[in-house]
Amino acid sequence: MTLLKPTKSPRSEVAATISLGKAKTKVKAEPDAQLGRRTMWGPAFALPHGLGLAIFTLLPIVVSLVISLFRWPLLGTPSFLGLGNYQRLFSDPIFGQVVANTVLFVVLYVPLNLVVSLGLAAWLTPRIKGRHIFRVIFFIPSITPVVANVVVWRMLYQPGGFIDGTLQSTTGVSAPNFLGDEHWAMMAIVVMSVWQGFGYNMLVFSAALDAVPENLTEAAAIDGANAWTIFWRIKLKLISPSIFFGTMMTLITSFQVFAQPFILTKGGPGSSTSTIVLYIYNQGFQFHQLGLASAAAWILFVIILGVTVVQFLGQKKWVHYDA
Amino acid sequence: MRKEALVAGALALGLIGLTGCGGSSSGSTADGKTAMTWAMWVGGTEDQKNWEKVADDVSNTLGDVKITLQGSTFQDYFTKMSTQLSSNTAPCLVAVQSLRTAQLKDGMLPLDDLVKKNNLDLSAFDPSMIKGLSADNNLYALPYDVGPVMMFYNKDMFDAAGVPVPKAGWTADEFVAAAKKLSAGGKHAIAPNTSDLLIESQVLAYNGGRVLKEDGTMDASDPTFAQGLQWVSDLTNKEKVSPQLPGGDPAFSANEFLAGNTAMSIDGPWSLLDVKGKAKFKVGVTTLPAGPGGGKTFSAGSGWGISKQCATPDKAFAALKEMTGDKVLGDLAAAGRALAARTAQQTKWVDNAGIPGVAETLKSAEATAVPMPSNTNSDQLGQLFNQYLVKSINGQQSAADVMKDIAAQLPR
Repeated sequence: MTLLKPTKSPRSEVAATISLGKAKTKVKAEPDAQLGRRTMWGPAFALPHGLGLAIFTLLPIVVSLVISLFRWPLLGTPSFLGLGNYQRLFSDPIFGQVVANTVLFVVLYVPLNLVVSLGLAAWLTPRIKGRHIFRVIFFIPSITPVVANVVVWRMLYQPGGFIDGTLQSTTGVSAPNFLGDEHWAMMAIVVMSVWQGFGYNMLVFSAALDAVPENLTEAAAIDGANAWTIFWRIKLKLISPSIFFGTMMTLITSFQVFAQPFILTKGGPGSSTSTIVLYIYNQGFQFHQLGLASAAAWILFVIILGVTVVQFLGQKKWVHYDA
Repeated sequence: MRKEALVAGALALGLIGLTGCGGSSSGSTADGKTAMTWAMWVGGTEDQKNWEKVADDVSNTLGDVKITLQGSTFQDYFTKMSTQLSSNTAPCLVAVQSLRTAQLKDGMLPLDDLVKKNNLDLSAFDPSMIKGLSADNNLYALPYDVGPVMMFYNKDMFDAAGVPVPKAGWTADEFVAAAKKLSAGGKHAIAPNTSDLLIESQVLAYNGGRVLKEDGTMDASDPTFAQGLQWVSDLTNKEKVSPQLPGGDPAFSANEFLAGNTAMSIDGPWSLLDVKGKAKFKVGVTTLPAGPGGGKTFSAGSGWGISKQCATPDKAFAALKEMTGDKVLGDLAAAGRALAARTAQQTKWVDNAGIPGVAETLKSAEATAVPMPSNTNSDQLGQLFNQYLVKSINGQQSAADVMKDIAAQLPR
């Protein structure tokens, strides 16, 4: 996010000099009032947003950190634990599995999402007839509520559902019980999530590809590069900032996956699809252990922060901002 | 912006704690009446009308209070109520389910003194519900409905398969024999259930195994319960009279029954009329199949209590007394909404149900019903059932191993 930097105009510099001089000579003049207004009104205008940030973002962050140090039942009196909640999480095999599940989801989902969205964006060149219609169609899953999507996918997945029914009528073999079998459940959730989530990245990549200057691709074509080389060597490099942005956002949101397992599997069978945010939700709002939930949330925060920092360090090697 | 996205998880928790959910416990209206909010779960437009009518009727009868309904879905109700009770924003009148009395009791007012002061006769209520809504020997709510868990069946499917409809008191062997005849052509006799009250009732009826002991303690490693759960799982894997579970869907069994895919479903009287209204077939009821050592069923129900934050507990109790009085419970029974917790009003519900055999089944089930105890870890157990029973029922793990995994995750 770029902050709006007030650019110093020559006029205000003049005003500043004048006022400085005036302060010494104590001569009352117009520009002094102008400076006063600037220093007064600036913070005043920033105040509503600043207050919002403090009350709704900073304070809750601090409070959740404090809560994570307590045994904090939803009903009843909290008691101080120090790092007890963190200790418990690190020694809990279920939390370990939950973190592993989340990492597995990220590792499967992020590359699949990027490949699908980039592939479709590359396919949707201006030469494709009705590309706008395709764009809208591909974007629809992203803007429909996850809950509605999940309900539809459950009908596809369940025994006797669309996939199973089609397989049985065509080949006579029944499909696995995707959501009821621990070996399939995570895959089923990943596939559903890719379908749901690729639209946004596709739109970003598609816009970035459209912005690649034609003279560069033309020059490459004249030099004898084929379509594949042009895409791989020129277009991909030029849209690398967009890919970086897409990767980053997808990584962050995929670490926070919740709705799909929450509705499709409730984290089961067993704990095979329990994710960190689902664990936080269950601890906080099902089992009323706000302290433990906050501690898990902070662990998630640190994981995401770490991954993001690594991303930023790594971007120098492959992201090209100079077109 | 990025930073905000990063901490969303931590933020969500903090925010809820900070802002609470609004709502005030009590105050006065413009015309000098005591305003009171009543938190209740609402199952649809029809339900909303029923409860609003109760609120209006009671307000009119008392004259000096104005009750306003604060509805939420049953699934969200307990999360919302716990949050409200902990953030001092809870309404005066609070609904509570007997299974969850222990979880909400810290935020609720014990009613025993008020009962004495107002000379309320508790013996007019079903005794199992007075027990069910008590914890640590204190009564926390006055019951409005009660119900033993029973077996609903699709009479048309029984007739089509040439199987005589089950009679109250049937055995597990008779059930399996009938189930085998009913399972053909993609249809099944019954769909598996992971909902705590229903699965625990099914096992209790089969062999008496229970996770929640009579004194309210929880023991998920009880071997008899594991054996009972194995029998339930074998209905899918060995007997093939039950389909596999398609993941965590607590409504699966009820939905399959309503869709006509299964011939039976385990449920309680509270949903009987709803099922009867939605089903495109004749609905019958009977007791849960009894196995060796079983024969009992759990009963559960709900009531209304007063939150500790209520500024006018005396007026709230007057409202409670009216809400669970003969008139209101009689009306609710006649409308088919609730099998009245006041035993004198139960015939109205039976008459309205118009389902043959319902009176005998109720009588037989009530004779064997024991109240389902409440425990502070009940929600956790329910959640673990949703996650883990799939493995046992779909035959990926033995019931004993599944219960071992569940027991390991419950706080000791």
